[in-house]
Amino acid sequence: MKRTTRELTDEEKRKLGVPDEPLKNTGQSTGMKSSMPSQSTTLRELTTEEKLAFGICDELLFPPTDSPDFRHVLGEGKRIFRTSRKNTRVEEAELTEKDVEMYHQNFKLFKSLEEKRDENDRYCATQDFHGHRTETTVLHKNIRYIMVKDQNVRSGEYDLEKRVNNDVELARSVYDVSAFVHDLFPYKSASAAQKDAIHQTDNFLAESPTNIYGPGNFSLVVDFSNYHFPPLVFTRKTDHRFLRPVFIDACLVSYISSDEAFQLPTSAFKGSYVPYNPRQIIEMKPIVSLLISFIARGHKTTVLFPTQYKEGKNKAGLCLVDDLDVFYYLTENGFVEFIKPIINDRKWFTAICKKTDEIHAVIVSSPKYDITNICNSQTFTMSSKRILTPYLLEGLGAENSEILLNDHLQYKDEDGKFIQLDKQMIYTYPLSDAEIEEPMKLAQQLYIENQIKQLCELGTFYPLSVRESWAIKVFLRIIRKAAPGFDLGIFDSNRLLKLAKVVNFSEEGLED
Amino acid sequence: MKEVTVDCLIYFCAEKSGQFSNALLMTSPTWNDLPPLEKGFEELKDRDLRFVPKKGQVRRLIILDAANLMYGGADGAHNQGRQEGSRPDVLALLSVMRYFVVNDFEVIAVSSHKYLKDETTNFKLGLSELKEEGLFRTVPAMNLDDVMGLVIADWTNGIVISADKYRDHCQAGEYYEKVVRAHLCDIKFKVIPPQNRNTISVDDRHFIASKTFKLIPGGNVPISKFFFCDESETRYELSVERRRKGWSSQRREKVLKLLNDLISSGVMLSQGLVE
Repeated sequence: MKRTTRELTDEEKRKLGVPDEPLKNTGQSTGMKSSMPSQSTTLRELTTEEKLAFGICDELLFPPTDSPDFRHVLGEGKRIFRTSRKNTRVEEAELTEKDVEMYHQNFKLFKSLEEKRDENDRYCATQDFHGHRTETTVLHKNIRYIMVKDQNVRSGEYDLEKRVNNDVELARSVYDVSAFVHDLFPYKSASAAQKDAIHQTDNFLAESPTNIYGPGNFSLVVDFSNYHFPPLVFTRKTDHRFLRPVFIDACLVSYISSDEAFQLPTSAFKGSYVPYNPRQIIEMKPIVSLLISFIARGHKTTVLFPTQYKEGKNKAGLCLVDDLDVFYYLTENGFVEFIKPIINDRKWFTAICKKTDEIHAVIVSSPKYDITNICNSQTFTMSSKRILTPYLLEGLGAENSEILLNDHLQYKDEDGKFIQLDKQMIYTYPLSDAEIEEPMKLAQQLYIENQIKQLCELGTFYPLSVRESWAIKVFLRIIRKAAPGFDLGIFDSNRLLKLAKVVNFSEEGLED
Repeated sequence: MKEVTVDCLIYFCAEKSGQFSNALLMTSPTWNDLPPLEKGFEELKDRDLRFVPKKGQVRRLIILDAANLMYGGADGAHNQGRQEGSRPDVLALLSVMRYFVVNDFEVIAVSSHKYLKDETTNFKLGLSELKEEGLFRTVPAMNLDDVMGLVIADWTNGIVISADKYRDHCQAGEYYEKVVRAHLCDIKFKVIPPQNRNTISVDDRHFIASKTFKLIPGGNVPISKFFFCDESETRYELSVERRRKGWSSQRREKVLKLLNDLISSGVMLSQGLVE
């Protein structure tokens, strides 16, 4: 299968409509353009320098090992791949001396490009250009990310167990949940939270009917709101009859949690928010975190991406998400919807609002996109106005930061009193057919077998935070006790021994 | 050398009779070398002696309601909090922050965007520096900054330091009532009358204490208990996680250095001595 235009014959190119002329300088500043030599005509004749400038590479570029983005992308368990210059087959490789040498060469080139870019920035600043700075900084980001091959994941054989077994932190977090779910922890020295949770789950099991666990039943609601910790569990019979589906704006969530160094300079529109960048690298961890919290709450959740993220990487092979395995898992299991390519923030926001309003869903995004930001009693009548904003609670480094969701929407009425929007209105459909009809509501519900499967799988990507961990623990304990037939994936008891070995616990400890 | 009179120096004294506890700040980086104060101040050390955790206890995250502290600690402010007409004083926020950092608590200040604009406060540069370091968090639109403080406190089992009683919010929903009961700590600023002010002289510089503040935890819980989370509490794991994720001794040193620098430069800036 031919991969680059270089391998196509002229005739094939004409058939496919590949232009045989200089690449259009889309998105480059005028300063950058003037430095390009004018004699190159085709893709084949571009020098390495020019290719780098256009974001194309068929050689591996290693970022410096002490740079933060290197660690950020090359976490544990990720692989390095290389393409050879002559044929563009991608193969797995070890870092050799030759690679290091090549890296140094490329790095010099890269450095000289950086200098040119800085020069252009200065020039742009004098000329009072708008919008250029965003494009030139994106170039920088593109080069630093390495090619990652889509090996094995495409065939759908994503190996959750392998990931857990290779990472001690992850194994520990999974073991922690499993031990609670299967009652394999010492009751006498149980913590207050554990005792509370056991008490609550036993109460729930005693009070709820036994037939709510079969396939085809609605999901359960595991809820932290109203100051519950550990979370309480509710059935759908009472207030939560029909839950709204949830849409998560991937670009915004990633923007909020991204490292300051990667954020775009907002001088283009002074003081404004520029979350949507066409070449933004999207982070998976905050998205997984939000997914877990909403699915535990019983909602059918979808993450919205722009279409250019469809492959997870762009045409040059540079990846656009920071963890391809997770991304492919999400796309192949129905968590993701792609929306038409968008040119700027406002259009993206309009598109997701439109999607939300069609089925009156819950939307997780930022109201800052919205120009008309008036907050009165009429504001929250539409679904697309009841926006839940995620907030990043920073810690020491990216792995210690959490995403917090504030679902307290308020406005002031005419007397200046605060009115809190009822959570029922945000999260559930009204019982009448006022918004949409019942068959549509049914189609938007999450069923319990899916809830179990999704939680069991999502809990294995990243070490769980305390809240996520408790939501899954409480839920799976109920399921294990009430409906023993369900397969709990990695959290199943037959995998406990293996996990324990990874976490270096002795077998005697398990009998406690 | 020019005589520098400091407005925001607050002395420390150990709690003897439940009176005011104060934080010591100096504008000179050589505060370590200060001579002990006169009688009446038992220990001139930076650490508040009430913050001694027992085994298994962990410190809770401190969330400062920046707007409230800046107004409350401003010159001419009453003890009840915001006072129209007085300019918010960033040094009050900095001094409270430093007090907690010295006592090894993780601190963040939560506020709305408007305090980062020019002319809203007397030391905008200081706030920008804090923001860069992640100590001063601005809140997204449509979330009132004080609500966000409560939500973060719920999420991390932290403590909100504010003179605001959140009465309007408590009436709007019972969630706020629950959070306020367990997570709110009141703070009162008091101006030392001029005749009672102590002076310390170090080299050619003179320092005068001007204000003190007092912490009053909700629910009549003693300070030595309120600021820590015990293993026997339900929310213990949240505090432990936050502590592990957000605070380390390197971080503390870095933050402390920044705060010391800001306080010294801030005082001089607000007095127009340095451009």
